[in-house]
Amino acid sequence: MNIGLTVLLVSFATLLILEAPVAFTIGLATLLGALALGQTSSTVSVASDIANGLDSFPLLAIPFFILAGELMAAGGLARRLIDFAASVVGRMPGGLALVNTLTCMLFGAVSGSAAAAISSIGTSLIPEMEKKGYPRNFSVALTTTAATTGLLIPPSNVMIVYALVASNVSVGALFVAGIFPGVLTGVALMAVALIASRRFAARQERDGGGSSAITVPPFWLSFFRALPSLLMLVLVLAVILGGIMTPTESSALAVLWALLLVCVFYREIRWRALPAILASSARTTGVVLLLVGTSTAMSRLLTMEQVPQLAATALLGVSDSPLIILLLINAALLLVGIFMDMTPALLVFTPIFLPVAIGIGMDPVHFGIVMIANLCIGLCTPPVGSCLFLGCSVGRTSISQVVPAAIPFFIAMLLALLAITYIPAISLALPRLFGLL
Amino acid sequence: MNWLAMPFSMLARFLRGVCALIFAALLMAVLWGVFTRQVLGDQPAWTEELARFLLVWLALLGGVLAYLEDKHLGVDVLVARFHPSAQKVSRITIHVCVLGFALAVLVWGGSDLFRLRWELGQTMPSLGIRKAWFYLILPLSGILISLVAVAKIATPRHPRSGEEAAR
Repeated sequence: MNIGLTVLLVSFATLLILEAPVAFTIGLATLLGALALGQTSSTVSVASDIANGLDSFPLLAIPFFILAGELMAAGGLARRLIDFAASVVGRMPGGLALVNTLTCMLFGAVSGSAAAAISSIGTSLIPEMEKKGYPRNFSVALTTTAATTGLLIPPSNVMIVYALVASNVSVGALFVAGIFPGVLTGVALMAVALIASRRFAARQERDGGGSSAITVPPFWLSFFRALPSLLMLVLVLAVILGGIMTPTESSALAVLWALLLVCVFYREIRWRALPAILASSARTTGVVLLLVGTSTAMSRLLTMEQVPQLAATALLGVSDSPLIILLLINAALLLVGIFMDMTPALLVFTPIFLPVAIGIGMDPVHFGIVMIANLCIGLCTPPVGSCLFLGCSVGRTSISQVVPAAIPFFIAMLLALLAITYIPAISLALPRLFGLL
Repeated sequence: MNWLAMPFSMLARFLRGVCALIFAALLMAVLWGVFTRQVLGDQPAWTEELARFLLVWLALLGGVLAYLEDKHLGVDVLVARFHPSAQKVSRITIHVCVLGFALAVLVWGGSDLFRLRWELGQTMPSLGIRKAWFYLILPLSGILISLVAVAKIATPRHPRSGEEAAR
């Protein structure tokens, strides 16, 4: 391995262990790697990679979906979606666990971000579940993993990031392709939650709670109250598929719709509170986009050092069976996901693995869905798992306690990932139906 | 001990205000672009250029704000198990690293970039201002991050922003 890559990896690992912010870790490791390679004016090239990496119209969707998510989180959408989910699955045994999963899927979907789902659903449902006898760590694990399915169900920030690096991939096709995989993962999580909640049922009855003690609102009433929020999903997809707006512009429309919902329709947020919401969305935007900027610089350095070619040779040297190569890529991505957040992982590793995937005849849209489904698992695993951290802080528990409770959910996500990887139709049937492929 | 708390919360309030303004302007620029294209049938070119300009400024200023308020993502399992004095050392080390990155890449590299673009005299086609202004945010955010980093090194129990103190 050459000296530049060694320096890059070692400094990356060291900074990560010291718990330096990941965005700076990636930037500094790239700078040190470039310096070790003896590149002239490394500081200028890293600086310009950051600025030019961010100077892209599609990336605008990121701040807008973040803002839409925060507006919805502050604006009482969570409660309406919870009521709706309760009216659908609330009567079943383990009802509250199912309600939690379904709400996370819906909220993650309409807001385009998993973080907003965890903080707003988690805050209201985790204490509720505890009252009904579910262990807190179980609820945190469920909320955290279920919220990531929202990244597969459109609209989704990370798909825009993927489309940005994988050239010639339409965001519209990705959005539609994610629907079934997202639902499949959600159903897998629900199955685990159902099996697990049988174990808690005995305790619930002893406490006199009774397992069906949640209030189930009437279906049509809760449906109509949640309808404006659910319409967001339809609206965004319709304007993209209808060719009226680009995905980026549709994200601005999502903000407008969210504003209308929370300020005019539901009247949960006063106009005066908006600057504070804008500012905290700007802060979250800074977290994500600084990662995008420094990851762009790292990705360019790796490409210059021929890492994509090295990876392709190594992978194709092990086997020429597409089945095995996909298994290897998935294993590598799971490892990446453990140490990297989704956005930088997509930016750095798409250029490395996508050519191999295309080489074995895979559709880039399908591969994008596989990458995202895979990296969703990484969002819930320590040491770098932004969703896990958020879930733990919302549920006031610790990572070491939640992880054992999360293992069954990880297995469900892995099984769903295998199905998504090896059955292309799960992702591609719908976009084909709409004539997007 | 918290002699930096005052200027810190002032900086945080200022940044939050600026970020909110940029964000609002960004939203308007994109929506105006859609409106003019779909309704008036003619989209001015400046909407996209302005949006991209504001996006980069928002990203970096938001990044400063996130650093100021300790919101950046990072690993969060190991250091808590260290001895308290080792924790302090590791905390100081990170902020020194951030300072190094901010000075080398953002301030030094960024101001080089600004100067180079200024000398080239390139302008942004539809906004009609120099492209160099676009890169000015690099050294600007670099200076802000460096100041925050120095303050965090100087006060190991770093001052929290107004918002967090209120919680």
